[in-house]
Amino acid sequence: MNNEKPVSVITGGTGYVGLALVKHLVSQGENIRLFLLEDHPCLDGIECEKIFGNICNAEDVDKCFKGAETVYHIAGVVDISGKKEQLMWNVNVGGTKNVVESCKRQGVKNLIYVSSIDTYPDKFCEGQISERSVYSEVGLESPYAITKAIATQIVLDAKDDLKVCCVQPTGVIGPDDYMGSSVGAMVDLFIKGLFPVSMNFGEYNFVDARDMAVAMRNAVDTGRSGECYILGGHRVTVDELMGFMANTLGKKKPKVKISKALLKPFVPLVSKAMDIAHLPPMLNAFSLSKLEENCNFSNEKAKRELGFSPRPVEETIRDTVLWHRKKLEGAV
Amino acid sequence: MKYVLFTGATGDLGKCCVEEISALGGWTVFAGGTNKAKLEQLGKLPNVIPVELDVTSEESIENAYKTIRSHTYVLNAVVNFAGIHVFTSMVEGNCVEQIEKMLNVNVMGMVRVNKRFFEMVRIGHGRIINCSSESGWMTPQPFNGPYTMTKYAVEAYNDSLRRELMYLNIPVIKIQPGSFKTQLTNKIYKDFDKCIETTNYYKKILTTMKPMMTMELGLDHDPKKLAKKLILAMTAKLPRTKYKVCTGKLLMTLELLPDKVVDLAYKAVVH
Repeated sequence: MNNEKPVSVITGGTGYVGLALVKHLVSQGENIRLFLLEDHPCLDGIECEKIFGNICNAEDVDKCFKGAETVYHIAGVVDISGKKEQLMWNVNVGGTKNVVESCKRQGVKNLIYVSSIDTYPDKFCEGQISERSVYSEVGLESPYAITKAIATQIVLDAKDDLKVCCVQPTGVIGPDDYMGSSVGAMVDLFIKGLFPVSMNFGEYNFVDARDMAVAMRNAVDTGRSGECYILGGHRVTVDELMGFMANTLGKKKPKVKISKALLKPFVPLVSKAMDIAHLPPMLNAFSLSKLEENCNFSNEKAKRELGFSPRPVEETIRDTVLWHRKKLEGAV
Repeated sequence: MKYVLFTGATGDLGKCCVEEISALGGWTVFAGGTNKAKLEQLGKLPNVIPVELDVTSEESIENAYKTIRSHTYVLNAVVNFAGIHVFTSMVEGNCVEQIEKMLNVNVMGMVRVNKRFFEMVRIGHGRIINCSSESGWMTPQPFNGPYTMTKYAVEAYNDSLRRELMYLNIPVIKIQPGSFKTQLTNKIYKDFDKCIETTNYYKKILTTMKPMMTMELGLDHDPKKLAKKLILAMTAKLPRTKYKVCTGKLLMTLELLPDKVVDLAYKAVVH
């Protein structure tokens, strides 16, 4: 490791956004330090410094940020099951407060924060959704969205003390899903042939974690302090997603498409079954409502200012499915 | 730790309730009031953070909001206890000014506070508790009209707020206390005497009525009974829509009689 190069700290480096960023920064020859709760085999072989600690503990954060020039704050708790609300307040809000305060104390120059597209309350509006200047809990329902919106504003409020930029990804997908996301669990089921039906409704906007990583690094150089950037990729319907996955695996796309009216009565049952099977909550009332929300997000600002360039969605889905197949074969 | 904003914390009843919540443990109380010396005293209690709060001033409410927001993003309860009482005729003296003042504190104060802190209650899965009075549901007694007007308005406001916020799963609860011996009671006596001095028409009537009023207001109910009901409203998993506390028995009996009979009784007593 080159000790003369400025140090970049990454919190949450084992999630798939974090890992994509770690790999991108290493490929650029950067000096990186990871702030981790615990070690993970996915980091084996990656040249980086590791500091272990809890983001809810200000002293741990201070220890890690000492001497850093840039902090990428990705660590957060995502929960749609409603079981981890207090943890989300502690980590997403309390942790982000610690990060911001520590950045000020340690003289960190740049803070890049991964906010969320869920911070936008414009769910049922029509037209294209663009970045806002102020974020709050007003109009938001899920505790995840509320905590992320409050945390986003905490970061933006520090714009006069250091350079702060927030990136707001839509549905993040990609390979290296070691922590087990909801989409990843769905891909696993599809590969195993346990997802025999498609849906005739529902659309979402997906972004590749690797494209996010490039934009986040660029934010340090070209991002403007106090600004948010929507990192939206492509809009894909559930049926199209199934088709892309089937193509990759050389399978046939499920012929049966169920309607929302048919699916809705079974949602509590499916949700409970997933809970019993210890699967990430793929299908519940919240995820179902997300499929019907306006997912027409503008990525023009990120393209213009961060050089954000989303790759074709077919490529993302292919790489994601192939990675999950390898994982199921025990090769990763 | 749970968080509650308590307005009118420097009044006698408010202070007693804040003391009881503080003793309960597990709650941080933001004690709002205008009397700085009393706020300072409340600040000595464990888990009580005094906040200067004048419910008639948007600016004061905004400053209190900022102070509270620096401690927490969520509120588990807002208790609206701020209220004043003015004893006045409905037609004599500066009654318009007095009624406006009372509506501003008792009703609009509640509206302002709940509007500003509603989001904090929503994201904290909290509840709103509004202090009404037995005057909020009883037929007004003579010369207590303006106070009753405000409490009737509180009842209507509370019930419509409850039926609005139920869609957001926020319980709205009203407390309907009877009379308690407080400084408010002493003020009522003073207002009554002032009314007797200044009235053109009711000197004899008011003088005759004074012992009756003294008897009703002098009921020495324990304010802790009110605090206990309030804590129940704050903590019950399935709270009721309203809690009555120490309702005056004589006044409640009058409610059972037809209006004309009660009117005649009031007239007969005076004559």
